[in-house]
Amino acid sequence: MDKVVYFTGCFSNYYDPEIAKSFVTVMEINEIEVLVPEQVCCGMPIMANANYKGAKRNFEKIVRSLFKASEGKYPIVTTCPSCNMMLKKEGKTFFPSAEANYVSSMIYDSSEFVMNLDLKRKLNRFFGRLELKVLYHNPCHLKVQNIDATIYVLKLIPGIEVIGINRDCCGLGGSFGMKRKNYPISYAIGTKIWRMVEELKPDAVVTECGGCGLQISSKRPVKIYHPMVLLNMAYSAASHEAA
Amino acid sequence: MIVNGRIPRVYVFEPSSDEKRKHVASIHAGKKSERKDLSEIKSQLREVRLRNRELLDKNVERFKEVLTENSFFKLHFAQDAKTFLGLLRKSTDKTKVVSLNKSNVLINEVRPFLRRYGYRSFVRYFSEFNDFTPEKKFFTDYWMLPGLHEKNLIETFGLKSIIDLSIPKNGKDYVTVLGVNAASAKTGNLYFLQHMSNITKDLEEAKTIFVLVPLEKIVEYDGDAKLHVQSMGIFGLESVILDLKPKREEVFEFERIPFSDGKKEVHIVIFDNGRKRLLSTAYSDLLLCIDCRACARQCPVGQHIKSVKELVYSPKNLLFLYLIGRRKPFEFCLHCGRCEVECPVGIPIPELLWKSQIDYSQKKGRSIFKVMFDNPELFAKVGTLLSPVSNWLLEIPIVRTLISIIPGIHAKAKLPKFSRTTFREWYEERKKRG
Repeated sequence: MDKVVYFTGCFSNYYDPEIAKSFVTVMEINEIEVLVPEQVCCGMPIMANANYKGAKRNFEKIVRSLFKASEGKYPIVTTCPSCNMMLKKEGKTFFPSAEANYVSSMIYDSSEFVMNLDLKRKLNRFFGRLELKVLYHNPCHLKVQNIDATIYVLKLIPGIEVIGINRDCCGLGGSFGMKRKNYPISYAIGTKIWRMVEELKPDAVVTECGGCGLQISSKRPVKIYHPMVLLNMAYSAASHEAA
Repeated sequence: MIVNGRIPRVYVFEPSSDEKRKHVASIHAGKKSERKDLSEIKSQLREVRLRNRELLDKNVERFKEVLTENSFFKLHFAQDAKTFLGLLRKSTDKTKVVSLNKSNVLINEVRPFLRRYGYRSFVRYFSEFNDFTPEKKFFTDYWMLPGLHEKNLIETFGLKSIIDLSIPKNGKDYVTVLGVNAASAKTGNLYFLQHMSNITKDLEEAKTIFVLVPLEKIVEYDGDAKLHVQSMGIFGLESVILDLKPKREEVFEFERIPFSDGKKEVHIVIFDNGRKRLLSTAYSDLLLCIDCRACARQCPVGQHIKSVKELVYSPKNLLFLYLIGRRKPFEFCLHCGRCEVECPVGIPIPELLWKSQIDYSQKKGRSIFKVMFDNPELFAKVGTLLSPVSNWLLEIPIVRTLISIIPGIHAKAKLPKFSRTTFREWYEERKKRG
């Protein structure tokens, strides 16, 4: 039985647990046990608020927890791009430690992890059909890491057609765009993705980032899916077809 | 009196299709193209920058020696912008008209002082948009850019002209201040990149010429300087395109100024303005910068920040202006990370921006509006605990108005809904059931 350590991040735990539940279900279908150790925020939004001490406290706590759960061998997976960026690259620059270096070397985005399973011929490909035209939005914190594994994953699901890919910033930036002073800038940046949704008229937008999804759906009535949710739906569809 | 018979010259590079012709010719001849790919240029450039940062002091001293040997040029050292203005005033008792090139060092660090001291300055670059109309402006934001170098349509930059400033000539009665792209310590040669012909015209016409040489622009060899200039062209091309717009306020009819009897004066000013001090700080990577502004190329906020309209924008420029005490820390950064990816020498701009905000906070404290965002996780916990009442509360207009004042969440911003149960609760429940 393979195992992974899962870091939910705040969005998948408090705001949209469907993402985290889907990830766990997808892993179990692939006979991978999901370990969810004690967790706190990775520190990314705290750092963005120039709170050095707070970010340090959180980051050091979470890397110790993930390090311990990983036992030197289990990969660590995130479903949130910003958490991934913090744990892989930025946190260890400001708060270096052996645990931070270890976590950085073991961390994967969920789609990246699923893609790697498939490339090793270990992914359960027993998918049902989902008839969806989707626009894929590549969040900034995956784009700058050159991670677009979701495109690969979406092509595995029968019936899903990727009708467009957006690699530009949605403009939200976590809490940045929610603040009174920043909202006009965030709005101006967001016009690109909203125009794209308007022109392409996808059935849904797929994106790994909860914040991006929030921004995209704030001005256009479009369904937002995390890739793990779609994978889980595809497995469900298969079991319904088999029945 | 010329000791070594070698006179420093100005080398002006412009867009050139020579490289493209060579590439096409090599294809037809069945030969392997000598075209370098971008990653090769980047690693070469980074090596050059690291070496020259290490040699900063030596390069400056050597540059001084070479120029001191040539009596034609007046060599100065300016510790800061005020000192530079003092030099300018001494040499320009009558004229108050100054022509500038679009150097971001000049525009961002010197120009505000020109205004303060009563000079009228114009960026002549924009005078050359004679037939430009707003309808022809196809690119208004970074995401409309065609991604030229990603399509391997590298427009290379070749040497266009070599100018010998020591040849005695008459000049028109105005001052030009030009920021160099690179200068060779070994030869004293000065290197410029131009996309129009403003720099060449100013060098030919102006009676009083000031060449501003920031410390980090001085490199060891002419080969280093050439690489600087060409790389600035290659990596900065899209930022140049993004800036292509008419600026009526920058237009001045330099062509109408008559030539006067006085002989040309050429001043070369080595410009510090806080750079030397940066060398021994955590921000020393900023001295690797060649000012191509590739970091601005995909910066999502750059086109939308009103307070930087007077500046040549890039995230690195705003950070530098903070470090020399001219601005507060750049607080509109989304921390998307694109600038670091785009930077040809790999400066970790997002991390340095975070560091600058932390440094500033530790000195000045943090505003109540920042403190109230300190614990987003606690907010989320309370929100889920009180869900669905918490979600309903956040829909009430009066509540949205109140929270737009403190802690300052915009009334129109869409907020995420708190879940009634957390994933952790679901997970623990599931573990119990086996």
